[in-house]
Amino acid sequence: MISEDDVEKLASLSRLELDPTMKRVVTGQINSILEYVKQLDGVDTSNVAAMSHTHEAVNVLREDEVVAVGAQPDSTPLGDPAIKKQSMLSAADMLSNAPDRSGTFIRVPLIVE
Amino acid sequence: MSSLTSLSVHEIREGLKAKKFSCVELTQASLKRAKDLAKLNCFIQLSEESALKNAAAIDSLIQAGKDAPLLGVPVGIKDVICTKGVRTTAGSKILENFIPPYDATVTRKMITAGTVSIGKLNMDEFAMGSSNENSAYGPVGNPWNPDYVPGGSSGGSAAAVAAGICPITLGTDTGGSIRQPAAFCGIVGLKPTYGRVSRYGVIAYASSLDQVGAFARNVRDCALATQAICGVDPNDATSVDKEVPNFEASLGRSIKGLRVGIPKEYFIDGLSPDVKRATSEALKTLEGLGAIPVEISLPHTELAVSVYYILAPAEASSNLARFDGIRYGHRAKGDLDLKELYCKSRSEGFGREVQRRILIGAYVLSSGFYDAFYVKAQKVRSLIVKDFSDAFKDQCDVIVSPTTPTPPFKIGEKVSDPLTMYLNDLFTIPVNLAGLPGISLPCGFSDNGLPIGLQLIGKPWDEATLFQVASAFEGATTWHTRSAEIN
Repeated sequence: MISEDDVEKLASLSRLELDPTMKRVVTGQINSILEYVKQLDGVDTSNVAAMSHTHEAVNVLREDEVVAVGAQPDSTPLGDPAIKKQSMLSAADMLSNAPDRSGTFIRVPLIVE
Repeated sequence: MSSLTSLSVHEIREGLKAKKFSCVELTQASLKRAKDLAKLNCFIQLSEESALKNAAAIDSLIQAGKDAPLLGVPVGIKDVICTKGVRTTAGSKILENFIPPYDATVTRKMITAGTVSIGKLNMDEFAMGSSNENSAYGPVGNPWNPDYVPGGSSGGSAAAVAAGICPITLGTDTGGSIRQPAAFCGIVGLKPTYGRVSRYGVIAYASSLDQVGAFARNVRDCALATQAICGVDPNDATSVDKEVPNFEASLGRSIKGLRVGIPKEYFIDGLSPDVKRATSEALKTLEGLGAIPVEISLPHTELAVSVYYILAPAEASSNLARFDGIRYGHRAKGDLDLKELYCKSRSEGFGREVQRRILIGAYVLSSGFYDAFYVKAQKVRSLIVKDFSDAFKDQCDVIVSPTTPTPPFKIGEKVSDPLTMYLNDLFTIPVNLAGLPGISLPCGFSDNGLPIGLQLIGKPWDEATLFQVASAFEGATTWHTRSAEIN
């Protein structure tokens, strides 16, 4: 069982803000879900390895090379069939969705006094 | 449906070659139907201008004698998949104005295959849901009866195909989000083996479970679309370098002697009578085609939902941490300090189900609970995977089950209790946990005229057998010829 205070703490960690009604409702809902998943307690997993990937995951490596800012693959029909390594996006592209921009900087609240 | 929008991919390609119609005409017909059926709310946005421009370019390519596997086919793309220059929202307010500066690999592959995207499809927010009722852009109506849900999270993708708007759409599947809406909408939907299709540019929900797949009105079209998107990608380290067979070659082949596993744990008391009836008839059809039914046991089936609702929220809580209002997405207004900025931006931008799953994820990963929940779930996941591999080792070649325990339900019917909603995914979730390929195909209707789906589960990398069995079943039935008469 988790309390509304526990949910408040989790919300703070998750950087979420819950109003009192939502906090109460969500606490109840989370508790019923946690109650349901308790069924795993009864399973004997003493000789079982934890699995995070279903297939043998192989570390995929590449050379650490500087790639020039390149033209993006063609978006016109048929384009370039070869899936090349991603060429770098320009700063302008990468910042195009920034809510508050100043040149090549993103403006944010003061972090350090 | 206008005759143009009822064409299969094969008919489209033949018709374009024979100059019976142009790609522009096809695209116009799809766009018109999408607008005529706006009440279904399949699309978060239609890209009319760019679609017609691309269609005209494709007509020039056709005239110049160029070809590509899906040249000229109008498609829709689930809004969780990045499309360069085209708003991509993941069904959320937090990305309401997000315009990706790049294409997902699957988007690029669809372009290379010659398709024309007519727009971005509605979905449960961040792919979390089984009914499309969690979208920040409104629910989607089931074309067979708009008062009912189309399923989720790829509700818009399934409905658009079932309504005859596009012959092919792309969706994603993490716990059933392609197969369940395919079942609810009476169409074909396939989730490939984990690692078959690149997740680069696909907004992540649960990274060890997500896969992109295709919807279509028939098995052949689904095979063609799946072919177009499969393949290892250097931009996705979880994609696997496995040769992609020619899926079309599996179609029309006999299934005589193929062993079909029937897991007793999937034929439970809670199964609705309609689903039980339709599935039993489907099994008889498969037997009639020469398949050999084999009773099998997948003993850890009933634990799958619990494992999923620990692992998926855990992965989601991590994946969604990037939505902080700083570099992209919604940023709260006002004179806020950094923590307030994060909290307000996220709380204003995320819907309730998303927030719920983030909180559960944070809880099961937190110190003191990590071993009891997260590691425990990972261990039980191993047991579920082993159930399947044991069955496939020497008992059966493919596994058959109902796709869902019940037929489609009414919009609003299950929103008040998350747990009730989660149990819709009972039969689909284990397949994602085990990383296996799974397909849903139409196999009947409920008493009140809503579709029911049959699920086939394959060995890792064995989409070919799924297409083979699906094709044989389709050849012996007429479910796929029925269309939702909606106007």
